[in-house]
Amino acid sequence: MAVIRPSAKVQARAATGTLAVENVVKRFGEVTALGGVSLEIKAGEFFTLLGPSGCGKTTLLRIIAGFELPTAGCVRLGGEDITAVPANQRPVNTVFQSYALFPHLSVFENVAFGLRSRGFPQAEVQKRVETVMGMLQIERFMARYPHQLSGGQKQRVAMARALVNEPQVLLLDEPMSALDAKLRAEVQVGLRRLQRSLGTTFILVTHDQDEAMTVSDRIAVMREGQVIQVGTPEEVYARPRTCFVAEFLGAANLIPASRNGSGVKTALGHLELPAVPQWEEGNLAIRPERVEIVPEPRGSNCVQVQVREVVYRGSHQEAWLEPGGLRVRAAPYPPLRPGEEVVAHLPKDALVVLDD
Amino acid sequence: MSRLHPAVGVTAVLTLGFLYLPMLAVAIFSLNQTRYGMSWGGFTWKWYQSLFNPALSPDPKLTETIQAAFVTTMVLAVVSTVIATVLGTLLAIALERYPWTRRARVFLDNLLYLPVVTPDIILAAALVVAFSVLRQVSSLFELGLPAMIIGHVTFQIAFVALVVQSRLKSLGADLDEAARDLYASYGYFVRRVLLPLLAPGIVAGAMLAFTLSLDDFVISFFTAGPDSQTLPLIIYGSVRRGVTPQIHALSTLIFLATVILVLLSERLTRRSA
Amino acid sequence: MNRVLVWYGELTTPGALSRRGLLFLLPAALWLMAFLVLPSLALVAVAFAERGTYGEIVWTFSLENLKRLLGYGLFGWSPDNLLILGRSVWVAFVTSLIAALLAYPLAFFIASRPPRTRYLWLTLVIIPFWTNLVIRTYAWQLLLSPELPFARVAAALGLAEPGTALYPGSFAVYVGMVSAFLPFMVLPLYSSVERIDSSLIEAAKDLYASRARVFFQAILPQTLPGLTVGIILTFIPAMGMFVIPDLLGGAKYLLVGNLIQQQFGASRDWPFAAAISLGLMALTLVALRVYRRSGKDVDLV
Repeated sequence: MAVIRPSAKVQARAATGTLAVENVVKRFGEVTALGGVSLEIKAGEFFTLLGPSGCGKTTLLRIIAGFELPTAGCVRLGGEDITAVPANQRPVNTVFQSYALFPHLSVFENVAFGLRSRGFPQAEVQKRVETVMGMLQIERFMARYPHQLSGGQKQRVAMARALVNEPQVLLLDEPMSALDAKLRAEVQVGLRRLQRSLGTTFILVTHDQDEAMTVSDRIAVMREGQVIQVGTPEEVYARPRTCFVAEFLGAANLIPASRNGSGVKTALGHLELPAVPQWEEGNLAIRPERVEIVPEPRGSNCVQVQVREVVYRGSHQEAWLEPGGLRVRAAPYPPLRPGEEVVAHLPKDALVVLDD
Repeated sequence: MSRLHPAVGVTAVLTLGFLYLPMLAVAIFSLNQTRYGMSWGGFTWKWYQSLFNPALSPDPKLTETIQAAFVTTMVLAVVSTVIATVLGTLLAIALERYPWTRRARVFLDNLLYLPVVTPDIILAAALVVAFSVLRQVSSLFELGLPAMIIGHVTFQIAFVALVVQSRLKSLGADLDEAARDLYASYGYFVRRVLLPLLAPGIVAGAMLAFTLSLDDFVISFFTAGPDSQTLPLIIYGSVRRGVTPQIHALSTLIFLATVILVLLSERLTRRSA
Repeated sequence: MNRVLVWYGELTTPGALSRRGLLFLLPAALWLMAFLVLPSLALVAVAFAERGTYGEIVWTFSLENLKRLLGYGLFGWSPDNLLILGRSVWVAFVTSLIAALLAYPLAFFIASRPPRTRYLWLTLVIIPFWTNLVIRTYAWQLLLSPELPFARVAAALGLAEPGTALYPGSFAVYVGMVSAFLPFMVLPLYSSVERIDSSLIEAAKDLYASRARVFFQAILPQTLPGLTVGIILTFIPAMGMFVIPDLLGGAKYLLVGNLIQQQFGASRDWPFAAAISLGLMALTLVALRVYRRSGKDVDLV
């Protein structure tokens, strides 16, 4: 998917409406899969539902696709309520986790399926299938059958099969979970470019935070049927709202703290904060790469610590400091030594006050 | 797997020999000149030729009976297989893809397993009794070809349904949803996705049903009328009267046809797997 | 109710779904009701009726047939019928036992072949299984006839009188039964043997276990699922078998299948035939019950 050649036609038909999920609840018997989720996804956005397995992200995607009905709440597309519109009448298409390619149909017929089932004339089918296949560079596999394709090729066929219908919203259910790590990184970049050039709304479900950060305009972090936080990758990473979000997206130092004047009291001593916390006792977060090792204390938020353990990682080194078990990610030079006494600086603007 | 004791291999090969010995004997005697008795009178093809040409047969009437029975056997097998395949496939889809209540499901499962576990002689007996009542309603239920077809379909349905059902189970809901997602109506989905994907299972089920029909003796024996003899019935009848080499030739041909059918269905199921 | 649901990607209502489900279900269900369930019920009803003078069914309720089955006839109690029922169970049991004994070496032998040739050996087992039973059975008549080696050897050893065939009789019935049901035993057993964890066998050998102990403690438990399926597939049809005892057992070695056929045919006593069928069905259900008790699912195809 290195080079993308979007057709003019596909571009012209770019997304037209906002997708709104309003107070959606889904219960399976006693189990609550979604406990009242509301989201607004703008037209042309690359939106990601991120969370651990069982958080309800796939259920939400299936509700948008029309494979499940919500117990309560509704889904609107361009203002129109589509909650009770059958899956086969929604301008929404899905790339399945298993790809769900029809094993008895050739690649061409797989891609043509959505057009043929709506009775498009042969010439139109031919033209549109060829265009989308060219865009995804799968013309060579046209006559093959799904079992003759590699994982990456299948994934592209599944994409083509959905995109040929020029949907307003494309749903992607962990489309890269079956690919190996190297290929996945490549496909992520390709996916991002493809979405940019088409301007179609993409909604991706994944449990991989790297993937979410790489491709998304905005990310919704989900947990136990609730959306915990919505924001751009930068916002969610740099300004996590809860301990869960801080730890789920990358590494984080969580520091229990209690309010102390304008700052807080912690195991590391008194720390100054950018804002006064709402709570009496709670948690702070700081990313390991934001902790600075400085030659000597200067100003506030400097702590005398001892290096307990160092791991050399080539591009950087990672160290654990006492007290507080603080994790630091520092430039590889000069090397830190276990037992060494150093000064750690926790910049005020790098400290995030969490809600919990 | 660890090495086997040589005695295991020898026993195994002897056991296989034990399975094939009877057919071997029949095949040898089908090539024997001697008409009566067991002594070897020299090699001949004449018993095979006489099956196809009554004029060459020492018993032209038997040849004609055999030829008529061949037609009956084939008509019976083909018609019952077609009916059973349609009914069995529909039943499999109904059982696998529709939400029945627990009670209904238990009932249907039993309905499906009943003909599989019931000894065929009981099914035959039940049919004979039922036909004797139904005969008063319609002449269709006179003993004869229609009655035999009904009997065969009744035990074939379950086997077709079980084979198709196992294929359906392996398909999962993904493809249904994918077709729906791609704007297919239910009818379009059935025509373009479900039936083509079930085809290997349906063909396998049909071949099983066909072979079961050819293989059946008991149901046919109880429900056959005077004008509707199948090949197994002819062979059984001639065993009671004294077998002739012509019957050996017929049996050998049936055996060879079975071999071809088995190899063919092996190939089909292997390819689809 | 106008509740909606999504079923296999389709937005529908429970009502519409059951209506279409019934459309799929009804043809086969009606067929089986008409030609399986109702006839079975008729058979049960007839078992409690009486035979008329000309072989017709007289619809008066009577337990006479069941009493006769248990041996209470016109001329006092006789064990004949119970003997036949008992013999059928016994023959089925012995057949299963011998078939299992022969099936083990064969299953192990096939499993020890290179993977590519295994299916050829399996096909060799399957072919006789699909060959018409009448043909296979009369072929044994041929093989056991006095002029051929089997009868001659038996005569030479003093096991049979010279110049007589080895049928009809119990020996011929067992030979016919075992050869007919052997594939039923080998196929499920093979599927178990193929899955054996050979490390357990190696471990047993490492512990210097005798061959018998290796078999009973390492092999048998692992092949038990296949063996039980094989036994059920052999035992139940063997009990109701008609062709083999008819052609190889003769009047001396009647089984319950022959008894039913006799009553339907020559004796024209349908009520009694129905009663015997009920007896056979009862034995079948007992066998299935015993089998289900062992907690296995019947894997028939």
